Amino acid sequence: MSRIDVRKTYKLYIGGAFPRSESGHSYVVHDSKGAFVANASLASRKDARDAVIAARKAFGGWSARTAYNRAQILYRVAEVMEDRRPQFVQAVVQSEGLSSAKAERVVDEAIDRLVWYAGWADKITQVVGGANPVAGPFFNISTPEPTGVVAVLAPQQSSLLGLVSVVAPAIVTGNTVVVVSSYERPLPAVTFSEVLATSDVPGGVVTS
Amino acid sequence: MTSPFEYAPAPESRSIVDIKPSYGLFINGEFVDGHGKAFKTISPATEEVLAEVAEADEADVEKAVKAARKAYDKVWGPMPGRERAKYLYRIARIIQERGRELAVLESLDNGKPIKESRDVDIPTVAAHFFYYAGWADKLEYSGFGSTPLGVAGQVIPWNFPLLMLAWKIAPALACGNTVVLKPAETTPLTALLFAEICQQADLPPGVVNIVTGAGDTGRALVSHPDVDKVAFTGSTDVGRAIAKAVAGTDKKVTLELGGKAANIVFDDAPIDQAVEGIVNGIFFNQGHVCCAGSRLLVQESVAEEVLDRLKRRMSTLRVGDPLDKNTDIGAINSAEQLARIRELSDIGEAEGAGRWSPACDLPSNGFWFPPTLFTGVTQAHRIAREEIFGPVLSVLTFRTPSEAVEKANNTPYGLSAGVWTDKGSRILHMANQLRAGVVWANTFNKFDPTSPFGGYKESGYGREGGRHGLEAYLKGGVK
Repeated sequence: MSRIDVRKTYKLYIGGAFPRSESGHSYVVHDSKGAFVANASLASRKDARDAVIAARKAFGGWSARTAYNRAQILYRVAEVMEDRRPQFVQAVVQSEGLSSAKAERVVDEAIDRLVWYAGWADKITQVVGGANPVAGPFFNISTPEPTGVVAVLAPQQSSLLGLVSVVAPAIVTGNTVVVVSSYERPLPAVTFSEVLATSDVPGGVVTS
Repeated sequence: MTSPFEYAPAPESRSIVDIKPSYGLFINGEFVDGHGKAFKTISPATEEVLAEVAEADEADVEKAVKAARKAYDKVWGPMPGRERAKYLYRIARIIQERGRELAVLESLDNGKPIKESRDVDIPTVAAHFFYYAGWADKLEYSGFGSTPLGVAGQVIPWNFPLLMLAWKIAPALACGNTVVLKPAETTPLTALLFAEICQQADLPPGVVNIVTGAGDTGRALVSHPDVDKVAFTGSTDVGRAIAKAVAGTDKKVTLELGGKAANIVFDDAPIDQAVEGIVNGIFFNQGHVCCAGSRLLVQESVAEEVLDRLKRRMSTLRVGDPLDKNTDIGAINSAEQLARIRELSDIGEAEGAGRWSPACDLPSNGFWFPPTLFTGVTQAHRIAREEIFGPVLSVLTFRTPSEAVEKANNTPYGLSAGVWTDKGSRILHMANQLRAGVVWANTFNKFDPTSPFGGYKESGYGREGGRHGLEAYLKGGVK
């Protein structure tokens, strides 16, 4: 008798935990060919508020980390993602209908993009900030600061690379984010949040 | 003398590191025999021979430069920055993973206390590679272009063996250059372990080459016609010789040389913190620090109090076994350096300065020098003008801020300085006036990969660290 597979429940990611929607709502997610894949949690307005509260709570600690520390954590996300590369390739194939070869390129690009942004953590200040040579007896410097909680509406089509491209720059600079993932293709985002949860990214830095 | 600070010994185990009886040169990704006269590297704390190390002669240097050139042309130069970055990240990670091993080896070969190699040197090394890894794919944002120079010949000192290696290799590789590096002859072991780390990281052969040896090897390297860039950290005398050797060639050069930093304490400074900073400034790494705060300039009105507290603090410094976790001051790196420290200290006494050291027992084997301070030092004294490169502090006084600036700048060097005061505006004013590449305020000897470091005047030219550190390894940079 063939083995029956154990299917994953796709839930929200809020404050480091994976709750269902408080509303109890879910919706059907199809693969690229229209076949049923899963019932994903459908977040309510209340879930969104909870997510913002979690993100706000995480902001103080996350933005106070050294840039070096944030860089290392983002790089760690890339490391763990590389480790789970086949899983992401499969998820991208399933949700976006790409060929395996194309999906592999997309996943590689997503991982490399995380590495690229990781390196920005402790460089952005020197590139866009600096001492301003004011014409007077006072001292003036500019330094970029994180803005706070960022609401991210992730791209609808590019379920993984698009998501990584909008989340990474926001968190590497010290913001925390609440992400609305692709409606039709939410599953790679859920898997990505599992990577975040196991990569020393504090709970609440990314919620979706 | 009994003191409440008597602890039982707390030695770090040296079993974590496996030292081979002999080491070859690291050329084109492999360890090969050298053709010079092999030499021994010893533990300066015990004079125990740690290993025999190959000496690279001119032909070996030739081979290393050839390997570096080939790797530059075929592999490393054409490789996209984002892929180079991944190798550097790998190296950073392996250094973190093997951190304790590197720290123990560094303390054995160099003599520095394990608490410094473990908590300062090695973490900073890893951070440096991590930082420059991130630049490899962002060079177009550096402001210096993104074209590498080619093959870099790098010669480093013995005071921070692996850290100086990181300062040299990380930015060079990030910018797309390949390197031939010569570690100091008294401290080659961590560089050779680093070569092993390059192998573990699968770094393409020839990108990093390590040639061991003394002055002759260094000369052969910096004067090799196929070396595009020379980077040197060490004494001003040798730096001058290198500048002469490359004059008239199209080699780019950066030099990080000696220093005689003023550590300036104003009367409104928090005295206890200042005393800690003075101790850290001059006794960190046995004073073998080019940016050491070797001249204490203290405002007259608090001079007596600062000196009293400084002496009391110095009496609690623990000198001894570098591998003991409680040790504050380890061994002097070599007999030669010890002789130099002794000579200059004797001259200080002969010229009339008051010499003081706390009572402290020194081990009978190895090279040791007690923490020492000189009072009544004037600007004319040799101990106020020459770099001693040991745990010896010259104390001078001043009355006004402008006198402090005058005295601090009255030196051929200009690497670093320290200012201790409660007043923010005074810090900024002093930082402006002091001719020093780095000015620390209410702290001392702080190093970070993002912060550029380098000197004015006879302390050399070029900057290492930060965005600025890329300039030395890019064509759009220093001409």
